[in-house]
Amino acid sequence: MSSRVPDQPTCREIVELVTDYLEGRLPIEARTRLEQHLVYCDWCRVYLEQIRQTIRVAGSVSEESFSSQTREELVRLFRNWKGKK
Amino acid sequence: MTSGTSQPGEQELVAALRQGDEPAFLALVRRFHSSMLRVARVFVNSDAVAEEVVQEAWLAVLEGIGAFEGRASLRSWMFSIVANRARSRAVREARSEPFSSFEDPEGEPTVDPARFHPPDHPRWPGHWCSPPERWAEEQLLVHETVELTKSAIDTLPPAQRQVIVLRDVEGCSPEEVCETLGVSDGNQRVLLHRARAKVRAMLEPHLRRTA
Amino acid sequence: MIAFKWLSRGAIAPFTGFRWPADRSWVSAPQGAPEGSGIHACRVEHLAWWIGEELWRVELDGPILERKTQIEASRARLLDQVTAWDPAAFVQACVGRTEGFAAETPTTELADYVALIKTVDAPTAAFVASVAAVAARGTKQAFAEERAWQARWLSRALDLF
Repeated sequence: MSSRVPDQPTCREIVELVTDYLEGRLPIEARTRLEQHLVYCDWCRVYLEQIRQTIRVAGSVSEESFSSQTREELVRLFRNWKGKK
Repeated sequence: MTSGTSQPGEQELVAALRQGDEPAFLALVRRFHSSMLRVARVFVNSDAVAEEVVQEAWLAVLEGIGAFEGRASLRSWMFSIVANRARSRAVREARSEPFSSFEDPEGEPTVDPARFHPPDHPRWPGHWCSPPERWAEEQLLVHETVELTKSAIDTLPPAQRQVIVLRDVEGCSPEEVCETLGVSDGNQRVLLHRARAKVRAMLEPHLRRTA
Repeated sequence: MIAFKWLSRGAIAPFTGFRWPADRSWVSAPQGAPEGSGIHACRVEHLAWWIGEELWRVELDGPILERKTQIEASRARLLDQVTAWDPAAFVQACVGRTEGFAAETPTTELADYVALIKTVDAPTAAFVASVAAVAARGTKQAFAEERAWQARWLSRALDLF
């Protein structure tokens, strides 16, 4: 690690680990070191929270409407298929 | 939430669909059509082409439902059909779409290195020098932010766009994404990591509280 | 066994956001989850690594996994909050330590840490003092040794065990 302090990851290293951390794919040692860093580094806590917020906003991108024309086309498609079965 | 088995309601729908039950088909359409459009849209050039691809995909679903064994989730099976058709269509329309694309060289930092103190900094090498500022929670789910997120996702390189749409927009599991896109778990995680970092960076200037 | 746990305000776990039940009922970690998914807690000697807003005494049940800076259990419940926890007093103790290091080793680096540590919160003060210890002593172990000193301070100041 490039930190001046032994075994302590830098913020630059932490931001590259956030996805593995959120996926639960960090080995226990790395996860512990990341969490220890978050204890004293408010900025990395903010960064991690922003990744979580990004995921949340992405999850809200989901209008569920489609036109009645589409519905009609699909019904036609279905009946055609059924007729040929 | 597991991806390897169909949800309970799905088994009934699949069985009914095999019998030619129209309401079952419409239930599936209500459940999946919009998502299928979003999945198609990450591969092809326009909404209109995505609509065509998904129409074709529905026919392929109907024709294949007899053979669907339920080992994969219904959703990942259907998304695979959409993805495969969308890819072929994109290739036919001469849009560069290699099967497994790694646009960014691996290991490239996902946050601008200038935001951290350089390695030779006497006190805090590698620590933030231009740290992120907290976002206002109330701004997060407003219409403008959602629209921004959509366009940010649209500007991503294709492979990253595919993964973030499947994982974070559609809520697919890592296993479903691997099945749908034919990539390894490690691959999808790297792509997801890069995609999320980019979208966050694009949202940041808009969500920063004014001083 | 009795151990300790640092939580955020409102007895909320700092990393998972889990809200510990106010009625002190038992909580179980998910079964068959990947390693490290149990309930984390501290022995006294681990306390300085995980400083948070609230310090709680907890009871642990079942097999205990020992790690370098924490322990992990499959079942736990909150017992009582250590209300004597005084973050400002802790920061002062760390300031004192760092000023001591600066007196031993009067460099601009140590002077910078002294200036910095007077402006930060308890968890960051613990970190800065440990960094200062490394700078003053010139050994890698000084970091962990300073954490051990901090744990002893906490144990005395809060009358833990």
